[in-house]
Amino acid sequence: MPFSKVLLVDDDEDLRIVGKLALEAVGGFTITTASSGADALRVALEDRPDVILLDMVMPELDGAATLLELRARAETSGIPVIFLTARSDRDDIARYFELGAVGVIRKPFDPMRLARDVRRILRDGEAEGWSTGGDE
Amino acid sequence: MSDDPDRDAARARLDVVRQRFAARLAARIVELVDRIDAARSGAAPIADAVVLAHRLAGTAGSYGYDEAGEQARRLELALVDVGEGGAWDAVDASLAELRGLSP
Repeated sequence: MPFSKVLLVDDDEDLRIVGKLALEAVGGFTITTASSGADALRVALEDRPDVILLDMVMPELDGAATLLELRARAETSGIPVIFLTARSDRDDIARYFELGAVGVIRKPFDPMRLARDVRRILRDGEAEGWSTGGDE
Repeated sequence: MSDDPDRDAARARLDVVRQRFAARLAARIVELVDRIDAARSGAAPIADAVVLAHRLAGTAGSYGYDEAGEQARRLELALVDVGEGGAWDAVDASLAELRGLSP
């Protein structure tokens, strides 16, 4: 399955700017952005991205709650989600996978490598026959 | 220059946004200082300052300001500690370091 449309969700505008540029200019993806969990749910329903990069720590609807909301909607339940996180604790990372993330990318990231990391996660996930829980 | 013109063009665009971020980084540090002052005086919750420090920690390094990002991370942890009853010493030390890194 080709992945070309990415929804980048982060509450920091500067992060969205550099992330969007990294994924578009370096990676050749088509990018939409959202600044909150609620915004992400709306954009995901409208645009049906191929993958969502989702910030973990956000006010109100955080990354975990947003993922659960995405999974609860038939239209978005199958979209793979990669968490963006500044946390490095192994327990935190393990919990993100238990929540249903297909991968985790650490912040800060190298903009010249971000798209490559996204593609690697998606490729590995497909090869391993991932499940986002959406069809179960 | 590499042998990949698309990558070179992308790198050039990233350099432009990085330069723009330098000005915003200075402003963000000032905003963080103000928010910490407000928390110290009891005029605002310390959680507000934690959020700003957390965001800066994740973003500054992505623009290549690794030291500022790491210092913001230490500041975030120090602020969390204050919120749990700790002293302000570590906040003051981290803040001084971060201000010294302002472009």
